[in-house]
Amino acid sequence: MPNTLLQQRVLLTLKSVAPEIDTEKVDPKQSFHDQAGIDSIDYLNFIVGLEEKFGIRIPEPDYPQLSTLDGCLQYLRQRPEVSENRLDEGEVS
Amino acid sequence: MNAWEEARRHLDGLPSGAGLNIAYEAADRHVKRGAGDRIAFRFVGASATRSMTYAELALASNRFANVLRRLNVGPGETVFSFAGRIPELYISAIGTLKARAVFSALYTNFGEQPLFARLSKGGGKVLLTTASLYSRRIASIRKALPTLEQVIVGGHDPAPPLTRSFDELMAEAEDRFDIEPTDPEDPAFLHFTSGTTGSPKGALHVHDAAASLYATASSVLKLRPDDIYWCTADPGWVTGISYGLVAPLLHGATMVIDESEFDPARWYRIIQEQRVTVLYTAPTAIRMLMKAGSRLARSYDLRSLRLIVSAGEALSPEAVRWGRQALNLDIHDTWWQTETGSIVIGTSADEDVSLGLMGRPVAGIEAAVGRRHGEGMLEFVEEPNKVGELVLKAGWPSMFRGYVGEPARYAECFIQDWYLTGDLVCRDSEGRFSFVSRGDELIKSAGHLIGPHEVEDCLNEHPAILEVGVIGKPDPLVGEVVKAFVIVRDGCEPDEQLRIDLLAFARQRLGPALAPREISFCHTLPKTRNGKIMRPVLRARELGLPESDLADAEDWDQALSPTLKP
Repeated sequence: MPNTLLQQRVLLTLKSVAPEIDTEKVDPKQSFHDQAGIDSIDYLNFIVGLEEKFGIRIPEPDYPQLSTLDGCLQYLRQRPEVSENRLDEGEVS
Repeated sequence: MNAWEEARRHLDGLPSGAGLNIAYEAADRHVKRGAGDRIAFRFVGASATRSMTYAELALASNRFANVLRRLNVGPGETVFSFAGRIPELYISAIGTLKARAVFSALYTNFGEQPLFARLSKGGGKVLLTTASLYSRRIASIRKALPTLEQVIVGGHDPAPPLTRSFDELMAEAEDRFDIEPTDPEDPAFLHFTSGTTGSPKGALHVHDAAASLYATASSVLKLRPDDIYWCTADPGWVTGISYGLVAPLLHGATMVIDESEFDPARWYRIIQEQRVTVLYTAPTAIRMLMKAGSRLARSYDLRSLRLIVSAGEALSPEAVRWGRQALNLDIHDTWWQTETGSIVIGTSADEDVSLGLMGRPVAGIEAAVGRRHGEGMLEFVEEPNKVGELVLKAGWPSMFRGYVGEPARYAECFIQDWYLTGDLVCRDSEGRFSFVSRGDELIKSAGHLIGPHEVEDCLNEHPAILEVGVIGKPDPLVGEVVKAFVIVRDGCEPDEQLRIDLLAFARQRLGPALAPREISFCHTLPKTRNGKIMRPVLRARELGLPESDLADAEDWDQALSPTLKP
């Protein structure tokens, strides 16, 4: 998977909540909770972090869609307010 | 006949008068009475729901008891679990009791340090876990745990080296097991809880706790065999065992087990789809439901619910009002703690809920408001609405029988025959209790007690830290969050990078359950003459409250906690 700017920003948000996580090793299909010991409070903080980072409001019923890295990317790509969706998503070196 | 004798009449006892064993009462006796086809558990997984009948539970726990026998686990030895809410955990808990060994469940959000402290103190001989948790948290500490002879791995992943597969061990074991005579005073469960000072405490409970659990599930929850009951607590905490395993099984009810993490929409869907009748949950979860909004609640059919009960921390009037409006039900409060083993104060299902009040002592419990005076002196506060410590007349069946390996610490919990709970309460003129605060410096986060000392000990191991003080910072969602105040060593820069390093260090070792969520750097920490950190002053500083009244105290070692000993 290309290391896109969007992905990098999601992983940075995750790392701000759980800095012990090795983001290189995050399995995009497995839930953050199952692979990295993220508890419910971390998860809420992660979603608040995403809201701040991307300047969006994430409604509560959408939370479960953000439990994996792939889920986050898919969700954020559907949100027109996310700036990366207005630009060509180039690879980040 | 007192309440406990009455409850014991509803328990069968082992055949031929061979004593009392919780596992027999929870599983086998229902089969003997012809109710083996009734569903004991519905495990709601991410993709499917699996049911287990009482007959299946009885046979599977027999197999596990035989597994333990083969692994030379004897009466009184400890079997730990460190796993999510998977069927293997519940089977092994009942199987362990059948083998007359002691079962102790550890919370999966613990890191290596709290795990090591608890496994070594409890002298764990066998540990049930999953392959993923083993690799992440246990493998690195295993060598330092000489008593831990066997690790059994449940779940779908293959067993890592030096572990045994749960499925393979079970397949080799017979499904017939006769429980040996069990004295009601034989130990059954070991529940760990935090202390203000020192290491965590392992509270030991006995098989006779069945009487308390049966009685309170009858009197407070009004539990019946046809109830679909859901206790949302994790088995890593006492509620998840006492009322998330034992009490509903004693009554032959059907239990819903949610294998996933908290999610408001899924919770409502579970209540709707499983037709849950009784929900036992915690204020933090209720606040999270409130945050998700009452519209979400109203979009589900929750009419199956007849009772919602709360435990773990004070239930606010706002939460009760929200429950009335969004769920059309009163939320009933209960008060108890690890050491009490079962509900001791509560508002039962047939009583009206009074905002801000926990309720009355349950039948069989004598509760009072007390104040400690020096060594061995307890003064009772008779006047209503005066703050004092909640104290309980010792001797109810589910009262803890000791802290494992620490008789002196156990003795300190009592004055004469009164157990000192450490919680400050008021009692009104009608005998109803309300919660005021903890009387010591323990932190209550998401309903879980956290000892600041355990967190400070961990952070002190970081090479950049000279001194550290840890407090509970008030938080609207989880009650309190762990916050650490840190003085760095000369030559270390107290910058953002170090803050992140310290958070990572603490989370790695303590796990998210205990690690600080916030770290602040400071130049000094307020201390007593004896060098003890004055956490109330730190807390006042954090909240912007005047410190002077606290800091001017003549002797802080006495004044640290005006009511209780630190």
